[in-house]
Amino acid sequence: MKTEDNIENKDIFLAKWIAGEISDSELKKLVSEEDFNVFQEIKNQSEHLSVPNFDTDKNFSAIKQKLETPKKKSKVIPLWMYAAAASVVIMISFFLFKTSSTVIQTSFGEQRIVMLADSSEVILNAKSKLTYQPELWKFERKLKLEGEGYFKVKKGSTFTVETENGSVTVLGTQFDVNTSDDFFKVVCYEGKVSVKQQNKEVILTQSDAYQNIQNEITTWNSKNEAPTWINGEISFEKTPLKIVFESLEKQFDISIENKTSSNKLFTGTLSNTNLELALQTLTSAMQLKYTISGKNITITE
Amino acid sequence: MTEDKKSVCKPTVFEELYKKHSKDVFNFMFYKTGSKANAEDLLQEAFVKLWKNCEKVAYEKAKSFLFTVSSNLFLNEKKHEKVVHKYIENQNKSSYKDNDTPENVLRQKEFQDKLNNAIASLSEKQREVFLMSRIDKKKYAEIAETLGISVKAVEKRMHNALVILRDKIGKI
Repeated sequence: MKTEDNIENKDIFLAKWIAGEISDSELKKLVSEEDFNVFQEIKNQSEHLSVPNFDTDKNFSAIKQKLETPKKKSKVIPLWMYAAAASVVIMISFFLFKTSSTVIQTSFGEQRIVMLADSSEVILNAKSKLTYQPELWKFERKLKLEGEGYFKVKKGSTFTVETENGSVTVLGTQFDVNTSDDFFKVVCYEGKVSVKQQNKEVILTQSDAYQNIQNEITTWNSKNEAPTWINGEISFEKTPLKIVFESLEKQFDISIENKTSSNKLFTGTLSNTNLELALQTLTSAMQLKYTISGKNITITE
Repeated sequence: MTEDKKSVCKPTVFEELYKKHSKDVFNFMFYKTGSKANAEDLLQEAFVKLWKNCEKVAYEKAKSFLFTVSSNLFLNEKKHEKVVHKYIENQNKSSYKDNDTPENVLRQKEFQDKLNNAIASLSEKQREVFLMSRIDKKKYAEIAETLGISVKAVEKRMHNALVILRDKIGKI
């Protein structure tokens, strides 16, 4: 190394050396042997430094979650913070379309509370999906639901829950909507809701329940003050076994194979937290048998 | 990438940017905070900001936006108070050779501890340059671009970092 270079590089030569831009022998001319040995050791050892593992997917989900719940007013609060302040429940199911709006989805057995911009709330049951457009919320209170949600609506303009099977419109009330393929159920816990299905409109008032299974409409009086699922139970009213099984599948992340031809209707309440208990209750009421093998349940006569 | 206008507002583009830069931003924040949890928080915040400003940030500028924003977030949140620097998650035994004597392994272990402490005592600016170079294996030019400073400035920080490390490590 030439002397001029030394002067030019005097405050960066170590950086040059560790990057391989100047050689060991050149460095030895610039530092003592002892220093050189330490530098050499720093170079070797720092080669093996590492940072903790970074979970790309997990962090991306976290980001998406932060984006789903606009900071202003909407936020997701854990369910336990919520006592059972009862209101209305509507049940609706399956596919609604996707827009580029906010989407909140729950997984098997998961429940979430969603606060909307006007402080209306939705409690989403397991395996359900809620889609809405926060920017338009001021102008139009409208959201789409797949699965089941319990709505507590602040008084104000019309509030509409759209589903594949029909829509529910309310003016400040509490109701539960549950929907899946050909199943549509709405229970009004407070206030008044209007249910529209295929151009027919039904008005529900407090404790009215409405259910449509394959175009067979049932209405009854609900004794509950809030949907039972928010308190760890699921209740059914004259519901085909197929729908009961679907509901258990969503809650417990299992798969149920029904080997019976039974299409009896079930009325009763099942545990939302204990699968065995739920199966026992259900099968003894319906005089059926069940076997569990891992995540697969088989139902027989 | 042929379209000259790739909108960051497109979810696919956003995800692509995430895949491309998240690890680097995470490491960068980790060098500053010395904590995985804090680094993840800051990383997430930075990407949330990117999304919220997607209309204003050009695709090509996204990387520098992320580094600038995460840096600022770090400074604002003062997460660096009381940071315990534990970069050297050196489960990485690769620095030992199979035929090493126990004395030698012990000596290396001691050196690693010293190095670890010495790195923790670097200034934040020296530390991030040193670690971006040694861990991320980035060229000085790349670091300079990321931090928005000159290559010469990067080299100076690196040089000073080495001087300080040597000083802190003392005799071996």
